[in-house]
Amino acid sequence: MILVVGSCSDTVSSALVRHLGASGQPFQVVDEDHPDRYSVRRDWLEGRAGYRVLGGGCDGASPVGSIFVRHAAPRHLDPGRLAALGDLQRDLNRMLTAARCPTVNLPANAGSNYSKPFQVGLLAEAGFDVPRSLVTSIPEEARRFYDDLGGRVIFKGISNVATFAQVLTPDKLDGLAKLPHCPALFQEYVAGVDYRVHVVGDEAFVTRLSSRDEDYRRGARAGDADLVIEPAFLGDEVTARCIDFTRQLGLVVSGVDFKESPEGRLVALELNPYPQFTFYEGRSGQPITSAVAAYLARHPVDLSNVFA
Amino acid sequence: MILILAETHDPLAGILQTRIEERGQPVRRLSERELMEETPIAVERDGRRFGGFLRLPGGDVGVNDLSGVLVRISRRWWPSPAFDPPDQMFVYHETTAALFCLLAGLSCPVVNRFDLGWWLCDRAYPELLREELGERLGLRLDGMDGAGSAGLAASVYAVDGRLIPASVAAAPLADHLAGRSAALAAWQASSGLRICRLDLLAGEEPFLERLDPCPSLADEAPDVTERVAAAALEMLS
Repeated sequence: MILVVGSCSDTVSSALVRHLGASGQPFQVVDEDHPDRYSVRRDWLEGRAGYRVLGGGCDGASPVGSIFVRHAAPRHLDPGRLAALGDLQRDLNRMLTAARCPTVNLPANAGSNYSKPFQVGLLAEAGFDVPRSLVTSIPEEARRFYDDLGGRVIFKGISNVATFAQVLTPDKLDGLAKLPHCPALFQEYVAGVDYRVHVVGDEAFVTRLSSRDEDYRRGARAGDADLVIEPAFLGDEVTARCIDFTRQLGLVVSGVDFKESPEGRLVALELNPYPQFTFYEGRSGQPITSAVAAYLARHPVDLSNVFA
Repeated sequence: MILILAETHDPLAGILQTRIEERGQPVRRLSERELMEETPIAVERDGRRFGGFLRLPGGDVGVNDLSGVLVRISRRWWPSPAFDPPDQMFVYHETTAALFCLLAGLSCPVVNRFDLGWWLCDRAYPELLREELGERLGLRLDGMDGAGSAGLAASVYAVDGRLIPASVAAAPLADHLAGRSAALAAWQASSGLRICRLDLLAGEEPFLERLDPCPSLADEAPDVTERVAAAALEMLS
């Protein structure tokens, strides 16, 4: 049986649940939008220590062969509900650290993009070409970086709190005065088309994105009629490196973002451990949800220490 | 220069600062608020090259000029209420992510070199560490929810493979684990947790009840804190 942990209002989790339902694959869901309905209990199971998930449709009796996790973000300001979600996620994460079955993705291994410049370092060590990057809260340092790169610089958030990349144009230089209040990430601007490589186990799906906007996500939101999202090919070496890097981080699924300049320079920007792959497959037609479901289904339950 | 990131009341940081100063080595100490709000930084990465500086009173200190960093901050910092609530959260994460990038890139000893789980206050992080270390040292880990554990509870500080009992009662547990100090040192090196506290229950095989990745030592006897500090000083020097 497959256990899906996350929010039923999340498009990726719900797409997977729909797919599992349609395929007849046995599964159960822990809907974190209702944390008070569930509990996780450490218990003796078939002669060894393990965990039982109870609540919703989970009776804690069926062995779990694989787990899909995409934790819900807090959507309420009510302290009671926030505490209930925090407690459930803590108990689930405790279970996941001890689970013997594959987890897609283990939250403990999914933190590297919390600090994008830190992850850029990991990408560089893995052999990817990465953009020159500066993290600073000092306006003069940002200006020096801008001048060093001939004014071809973008800026964006350092953490994984959602921000859009913006080109640092001359009219925005006055905004650098705000840096002492909050640092920002500045990167060498690589103009060109975007690629997203979704890794699912040993498989990779390459998607090419062409937009008028420097950040295609903003273009998509604004209804950019010229936004093109299509299957593509980046070469076996690149996709193999994406698969290896994902595995090296202890992940099964990832979304690796690239920019390709007109001269053919391919620059790795970041790896997303919880990619919104439904956005891409809905436009490119690539069967990513199906690949995730197939990965989850191919694992036997023999050694499971999680029951739901 | 050795950089100490700790609050003013931190006993371990206080002893270490004194010992470092006695040796005549340059040392600077910053509280969490001073670090997050009053210390401008610039960190640059070009491929695998890493550089930058912290702007401290008296001059910039290059990140590659640091010879050691002690990280003992309380993680209680939160941006000024002068920011709107959503901006407070944004500033918190941006500042924390910037600092993590800086510390992670340092090539000098960083004690402790905490993983993101600690920085993000992930409540499962200590449990993950407990599982890892327990398996590595062959300690008992199994305990059922709601089932009380029998046995004498005692704490042992693990500092770079050394075992320092927090009490007389903990001494036999430290002795019992002495043969596994090489495995402990290897785990501490790979996890970055060069100082931590193990709470153990005595038994035929000790039960690792809890692992504290950043123990305060505030309630410990002075000689225990001195011994932990002496071992930490060797790592930072």
